[in-house]
Amino acid sequence: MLQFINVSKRYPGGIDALKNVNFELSNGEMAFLTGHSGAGKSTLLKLIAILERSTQGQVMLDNQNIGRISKRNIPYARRKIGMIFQDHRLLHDHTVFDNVALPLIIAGIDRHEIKRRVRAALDKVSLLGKEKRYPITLSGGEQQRIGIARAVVNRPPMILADEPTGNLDPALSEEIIQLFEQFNRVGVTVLIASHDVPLIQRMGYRTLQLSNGEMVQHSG
Amino acid sequence: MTVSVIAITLSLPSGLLVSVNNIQSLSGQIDLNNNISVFLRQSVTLKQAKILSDSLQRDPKIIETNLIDKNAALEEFRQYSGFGTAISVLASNPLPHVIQITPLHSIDNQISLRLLVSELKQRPNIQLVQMDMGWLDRLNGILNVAQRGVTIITILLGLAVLLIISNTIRLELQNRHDEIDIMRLVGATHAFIMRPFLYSGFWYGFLGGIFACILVNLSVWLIDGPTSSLAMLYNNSFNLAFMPLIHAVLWVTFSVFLGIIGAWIVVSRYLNELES
Repeated sequence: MLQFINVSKRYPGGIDALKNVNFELSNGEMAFLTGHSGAGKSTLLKLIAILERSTQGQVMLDNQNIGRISKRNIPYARRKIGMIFQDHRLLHDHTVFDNVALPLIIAGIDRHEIKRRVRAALDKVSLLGKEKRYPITLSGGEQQRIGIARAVVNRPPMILADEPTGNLDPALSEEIIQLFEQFNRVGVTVLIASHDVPLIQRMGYRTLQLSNGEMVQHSG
Repeated sequence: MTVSVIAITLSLPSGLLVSVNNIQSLSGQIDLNNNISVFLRQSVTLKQAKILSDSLQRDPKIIETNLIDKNAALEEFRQYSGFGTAISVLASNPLPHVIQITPLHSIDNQISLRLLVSELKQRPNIQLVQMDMGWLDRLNGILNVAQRGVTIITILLGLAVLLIISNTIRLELQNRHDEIDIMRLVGATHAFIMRPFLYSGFWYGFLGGIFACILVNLSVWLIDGPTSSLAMLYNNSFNLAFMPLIHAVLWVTFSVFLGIIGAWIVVSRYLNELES
């Protein structure tokens, strides 16, 4: 599903964010990506989301070298990935429904189908009945769940989460991770960047550890 | 705000164009009563003059002739010029008989007019043929310069409108930066992100163009009253023409075009910078 082959990323100014990173995530796998802040977690996720391009090496997603993809095809490659952020990245002047529907509207899916799928996604994250609310009126955990519903609504084969539990208390964090487990169980590949080491250890999934841009451990 | 700036900016060249068109139609009216004055020799008697006038009347190239008796002309001159006493001193009438000719061809057909003039010159008893088209030529020359000027001003102000719209769209882009980021992250194509901005560009251009036309016609309406009373003083009935509908449609189209192009340039540049 996802493969990094000798990937390096050097930012202008000579800062090496990633150095010769190699790893592979197979289809339907769930893994955590850890490391101190500044270790390169965000850069690694940005390479997968094609928000940045690698300086060296290949990033393969679905047997496609996404480091070489043309600008025109970037949006279509991104639709294969559901992304979740620590700061939710929701549209605050739109309702919960509109937020979750966004990827479907963009993909040009018909209204009837959108309604059905958004309700299904909101049902999965237990937010059914709050479609008409605005994100700001909901709690942090609920906002994060809107983000998750938006990420899974168009059924991408892979979910990337950047510190999804960053601002949540341990109980809520666990709930969120359990959501990811549910998606993983139906075959979605999940990669979660987090520095919440106790949580990761408790969950017992494969862990990819970055330190100063190098992959120091990929235990499974 | 943007719409009114666009409207004012566009009303300047379109207003100038309307003015030029009006002056042109005014000079067109003058063309119609553009006469040729034929001055006869002093020795020609009134009877001979009448015969000549009648023969000219039969010329197909001439619509009408009007003989001005030299005695009548002198009397008129005495009355209106204010040189009454000076004229009484003269031993004989210095004025010749004059035949005023209204030619078939107007000023647009210069060649046939000049041909007519040279024909007239060859006739006996005719001393001088005068067709004072010089000033009309000059007026037309000035109008051509003015028209070229309007074209240049239109281009420059068109660029200004493009910049105004670009700047407004740029501000909108900055305001919606987060929203655009989110849309990109969930796989929106550039065309999808661009669409609402192109709509804004369209509306800015459309409304700006409409208001510019309204402004120009409002100005014409305001100036029309004084102009026709001024024309009345010259024994002329002249009404300013409003902007023709076809021009209004063209201006609005031009403005809409600028709006969409302006928006497109800004948004596509912005998106291309975001995508590495």
